[in-house]
Amino acid sequence: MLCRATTSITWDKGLNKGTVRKVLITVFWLLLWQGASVLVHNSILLAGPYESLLALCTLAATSSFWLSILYSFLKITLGFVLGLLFGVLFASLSYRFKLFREFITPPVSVIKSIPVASFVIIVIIWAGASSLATVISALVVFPMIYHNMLSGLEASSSTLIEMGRLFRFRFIDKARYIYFPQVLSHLQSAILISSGMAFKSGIAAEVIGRPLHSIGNGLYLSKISLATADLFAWTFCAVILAYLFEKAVSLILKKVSAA
Amino acid sequence: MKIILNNICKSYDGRKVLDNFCYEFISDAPVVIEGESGIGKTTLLRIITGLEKPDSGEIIFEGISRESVRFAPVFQEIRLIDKLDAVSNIKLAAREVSDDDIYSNLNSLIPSEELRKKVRDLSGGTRRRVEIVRASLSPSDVLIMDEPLTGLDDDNAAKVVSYIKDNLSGRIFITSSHSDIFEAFCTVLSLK
Repeated sequence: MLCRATTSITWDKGLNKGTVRKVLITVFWLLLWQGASVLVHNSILLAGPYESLLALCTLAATSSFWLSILYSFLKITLGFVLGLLFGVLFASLSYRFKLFREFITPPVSVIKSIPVASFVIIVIIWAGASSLATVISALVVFPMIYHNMLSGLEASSSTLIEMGRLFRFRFIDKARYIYFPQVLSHLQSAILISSGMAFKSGIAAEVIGRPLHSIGNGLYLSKISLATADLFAWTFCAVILAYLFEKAVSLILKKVSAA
Repeated sequence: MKIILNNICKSYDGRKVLDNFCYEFISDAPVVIEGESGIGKTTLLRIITGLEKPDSGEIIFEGISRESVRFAPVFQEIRLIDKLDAVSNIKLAAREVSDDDIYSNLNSLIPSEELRKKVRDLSGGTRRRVEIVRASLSPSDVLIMDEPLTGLDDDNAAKVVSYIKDNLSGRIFITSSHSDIFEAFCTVLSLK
């Protein structure tokens, strides 16, 4: 009992020490930022953390700020989900049908290699700015998911595939017990990386296309009005949103792999 | 039901493994294939199940179409879903069989405390027995067992052979073995 109590206290101390260190490091960087902004003394060149926080509070008092966050979040999430679904679907078809794979390989390579900015312009011309973030994030996510899903399927155990075939496993059982474990290990990192990339590229696309009520439009307006504090405030929101989304995706992945 | 093999040839890297091989496998006439390692026993079994194609020759299924023949294999190496227990593994291949039936079949070969363990935590010999029960319970026309006694001691091997014999249910049975234990109820097919 004594031993357990001692261990517990040590652990608590360790946790507090780590937390305190993290807080101190954050405070150090914030102070450095604040100090630099005071030295520069030009809020256009470098707004400090205090100014940025004020800007964030001012923005947060407006309904258009929350609408922008909501729309950007929903559109980019939709794009991510579409990229994921199409990546999984097309990779499965490519794995099953060789001709389909040969057919789909050139467009996938093109999507992977074309710069996001070029796609943004094309999408603005073809579909307008409102669906821009969705299309761009889907296009960024799709090839990553496609390639990783396909290599996961190809790495699935051929011996188990033969076994499932002869015993006539149901499709759902083959997918769940033979393909899924291998696919999941290949897809996990791709999903996490692409979730972050979906947000970065989606918001970058919004900056170019400037759809109404979007984080990207907020960033653009900060640029033309030289409101650096607003720019930082919008950036802070984008970072938090991407972070929360990645955490949520990671949580879902953990639940799925545990099941 | 009959499986007729006519002039089956198969080579690997220029080495002939099967050369104009002919044989008829018939229901209720179990066969044990014997021969040295590398003589082509596994290749022959894989050709029968359709997992491998012969270079030439034909396989005729009499009394049933090729597409509807159901095979129940025991492969040379263990092929189970590691994260599932023995019962769940068998259930995947024999969905219509009740859990009680699966339990009682497994219990005749494996101690009951092993049955709820994940198969990755079982010994090689126990996993082998799970595979044999799976093949026997799986609704099938042809039982194919490639070296099913690997990893089993003499006592367990005798139990397993008796279990296999009792559960043939009129199916075509083809096995390969280095042991002569199957000769008691199987026709010997020697590959040379």
